[in-house]
Amino acid sequence: MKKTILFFSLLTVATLGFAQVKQTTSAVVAFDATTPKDALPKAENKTVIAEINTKTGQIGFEAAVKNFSFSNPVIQEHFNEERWMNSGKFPAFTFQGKINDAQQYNFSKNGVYNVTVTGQLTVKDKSTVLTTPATIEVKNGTLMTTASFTITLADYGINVGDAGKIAGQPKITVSAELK
Amino acid sequence: METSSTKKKWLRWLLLAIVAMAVAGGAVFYYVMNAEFADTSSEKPAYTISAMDLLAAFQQNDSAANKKYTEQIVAVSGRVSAVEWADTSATVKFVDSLSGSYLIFDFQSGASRQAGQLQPGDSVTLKGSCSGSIYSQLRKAHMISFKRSVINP
Repeated sequence: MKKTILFFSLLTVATLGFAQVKQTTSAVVAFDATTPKDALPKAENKTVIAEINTKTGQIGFEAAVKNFSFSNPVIQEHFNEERWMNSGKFPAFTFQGKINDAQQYNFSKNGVYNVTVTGQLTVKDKSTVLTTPATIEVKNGTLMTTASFTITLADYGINVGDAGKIAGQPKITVSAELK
Repeated sequence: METSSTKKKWLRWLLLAIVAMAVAGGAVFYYVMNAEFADTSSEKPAYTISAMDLLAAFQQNDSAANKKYTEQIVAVSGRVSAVEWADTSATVKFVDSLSGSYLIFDFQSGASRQAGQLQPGDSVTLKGSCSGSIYSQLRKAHMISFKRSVINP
């Protein structure tokens, strides 16, 4: 009986260790729209939901727009305004995508995998196709992922004006530790 | 002669007023652009509430709760469900085990280290700027997030 319990306990631990769906609610997305004229429009959101299915390669991210934290109160207010993110009406941004050719990677094995991810980034209810390289480091069942890319704000109906104080193509950096 | 002298006086005053306005405008612009958020530790909470009551408020009427709590400093007490790490800083969660909905706090610089020492089961009051809720399609639950949080002594 004891052996049976031990066997099932080990089986459970092993199953959990190599669970197909890895997730976190503390992924970090950094937004950097600084220009030589203005170093203020940059922020981080550290409470982003992220999920990767290591078998199918499906990836999902969700973030509350209002939880992007700026150092400057005025810039944060502008970021959430109607002509920018309009976070009152569109409180979340999402990414739904897939690791290209996911079947060629064995994410149950420790190592560093350089992958390409393609999916739909939805901001203010406008979706665009995004393809970006990403790195996934697997360490004892934990996936540490990083990706960096730019987006074009005009694609989401955001007009930054001509003053040159806000980058029209801000840099987005994503990092997540999924378990 | 008198008319010319009066004109000169007016011009001098006008010039001074323009310079004073430009200096004041510049000072206001400099102040606004260099302003930073106040230290949350010194902020008086607009609301003090338990984690489960706050979750219930959002679950019962999401739009009313968002209107009431968003961008307000809120002190929330509860038992820590999880401490997670985002890069090198900690986040702390209070989770409703029945619905899966949760409150999550990220911390202002300097407060994260102390928060990272919390353990699941610890009773604590956290104070932060409420960012309102979103319904997560991935987790099928509400997430209510907070930024610039601190541990309330």
